[in-house]
Amino acid sequence: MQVKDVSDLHAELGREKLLPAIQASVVEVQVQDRQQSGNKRPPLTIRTIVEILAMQFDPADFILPNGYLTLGESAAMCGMGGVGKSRLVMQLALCCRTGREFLRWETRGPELRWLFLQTENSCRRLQADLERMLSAFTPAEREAINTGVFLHTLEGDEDGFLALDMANCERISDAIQKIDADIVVFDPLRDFGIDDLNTDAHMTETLREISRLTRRGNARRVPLVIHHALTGKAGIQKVMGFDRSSFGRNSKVLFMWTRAQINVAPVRPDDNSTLIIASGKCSNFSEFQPFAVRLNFDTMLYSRDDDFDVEEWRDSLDKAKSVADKLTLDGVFAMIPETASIPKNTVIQKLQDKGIGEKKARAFLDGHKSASGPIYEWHIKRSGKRDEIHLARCAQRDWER
Amino acid sequence: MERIAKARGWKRETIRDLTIGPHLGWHEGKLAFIYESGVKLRWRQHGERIVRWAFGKPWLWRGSIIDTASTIYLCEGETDAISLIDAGLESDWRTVAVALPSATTFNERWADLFLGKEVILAFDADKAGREATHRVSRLLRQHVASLKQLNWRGLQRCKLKT
Repeated sequence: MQVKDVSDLHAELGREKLLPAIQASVVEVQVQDRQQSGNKRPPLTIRTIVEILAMQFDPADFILPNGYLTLGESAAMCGMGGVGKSRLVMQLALCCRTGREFLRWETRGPELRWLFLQTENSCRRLQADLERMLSAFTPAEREAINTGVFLHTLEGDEDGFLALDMANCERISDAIQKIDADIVVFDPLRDFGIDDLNTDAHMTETLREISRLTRRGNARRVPLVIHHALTGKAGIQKVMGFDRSSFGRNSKVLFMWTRAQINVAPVRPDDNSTLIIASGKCSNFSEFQPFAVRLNFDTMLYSRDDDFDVEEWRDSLDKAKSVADKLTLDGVFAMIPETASIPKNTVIQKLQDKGIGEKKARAFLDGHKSASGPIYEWHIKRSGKRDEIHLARCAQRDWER
Repeated sequence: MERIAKARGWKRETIRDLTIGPHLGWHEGKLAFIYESGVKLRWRQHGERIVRWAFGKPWLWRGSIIDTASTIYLCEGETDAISLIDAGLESDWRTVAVALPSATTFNERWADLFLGKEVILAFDADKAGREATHRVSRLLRQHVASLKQLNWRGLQRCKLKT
C-alpha cells in the first residue's frame, strides 16, 4: 500500500511505531530554493550566433581531452558489479591529480578536487587498494593526491545509506560544499536511487537530483556516475557496437542524461584482471576505439594491453552465438551412424561441445524424432536398469530391442 | 464511537477524550469535527466521501490549544491529527496536534498563533501536500522558533523495513 498521509502510516505501522518513525523523519523545511524559484532566478540568457562564435573557451575544461570528462558536463562509467569500475575511476583521479596519463589518455586539471561518494567498499578494502596504488607514485605526487582526493567512508550506521532523500541530499550537498569538490563520483548509482531505478521516472528523478546537488554553487562541477551494467554474455556483448548505449541497467534515461559514457567489461567470465574499455557515448568528440587493459596486481593500476585483439575477442562472442544458431538436422545426422544407433546423451554432449545449450539440444531432438523419422528413438534393453535411449536414422527392429 | 475507533484503528479512549474536548462529535450519522469557529461534517454517501460545514467557517481544528504547547504538529486534515494523538503525541502535554481543514486552507493571519513555537508540518505526501508545505512554511517561518516537515521518503523506507 502506498502511504500518502499520517493516517496511512498509523494504519501501516500501528500506533506504537508511528511516533518513533515520524520523529526520526522530521527535517528542516527547505524554503530557500523555493523562494529563489519564486522570482529571483536570473533571466534566460539569449545570444546571437555572432556572440556565440566570439566566445572563448578554456581547453583546460576538458579534463580528458578526448571529451570523456569535461567540466560542467555529466559523465558515466558502466560495468558489471565487481569488474573494477571504482578502481578505474580512482586511477583516473590519481592520474589527473598528478598529471599522469590515464590509460594513455592525456589528463588535465591537477588542481581539481575529487570527492568519491561510495557505498560499497569498506575502509579495509580501500586501504588495501590505495596502499598499492600509491606505491606507483612519488612522494610529491602522493601529496598532490592526498590534498585533492576525498572519499566517503563506511564507518557509522548511516554511512552506506545515501539514497537521495531530503536528509541525505543535505548531507551530500554539505559534503560537496565543504570539500569544494570539482568532480563528484556517485558510486554506485543504484545506492543513490530514489525508489526503483528500473523505472524511467525514478531514474530521471535520481539523475536530476544528482545534477542539482552537484551543480549547486558551481555549475562547472562534474557529476560522474558509476553504474552497474547488464550481466552475462548477452550483457557483455553490448559493451560495444550497436547496442553499446544499452549496456547499463535501465540505461535509456542515463544515456540521455550523460554527455559521455565509458563501458567496461571483463574479457573472461572468471577473471576481471583483463578488461575491455569501450565508448558508450561521447557528445563532444568522436568516440575512441575499444581497447583492452590489464591489472597490475602489485600497483592495482590498469595499463593498456596492445597485444590483446579486441576484434578477435568480439568475434569469439559472436561465434559462440552463431554456432548455437547452426543447430540443423544435417548437423545432427552427421553425428548419428547410418545403420546403427548412438546414445542420445552422447549426441547432446556433442552438441553442447559446439556451444549449444542442453535444453535447446533436447528440444531440437525431441522436435525431430517420431515413429516415421527423420530421427528415430531406440530403446535399448538393459538388465535391471531402465532402457537406454539411443538415436538412429532408421526405425528400431524387433531383434534390436 | 466504537465503530469509528475500530474502522480507523484508533483507541476508544482517544475518541472519548476528543469528544470531551470537545473536538469531535456525531450528528445525524455524520462525523462532526468541532472547531471553535463552527462544525464540519463528514460522511459517506453512495461510496463517496462528503464534507460540509454544518455552520460556521474554516479555522484551525483545535486551534485554541496551540497556545498551551511548545511544539505543534500541523496536519492536513483532522484524521491525521487524531492518528498522531492516538499514537500518544500529546502525552507530554507540551506537544499538540492541530489540523488545517484542507490542504489549501491557511489564512496568513493565523500565522501569529504559532509565534515562538516549534512547528512540524505533517502534510500529505502528494502534490497538494507539497504545495501546502511550501505555502504555509513561507507564511510561518517569520514567526516560529523552528519549522520542520516530514521526510516522506524516509518514512516510506521505514514502512518498507517494518
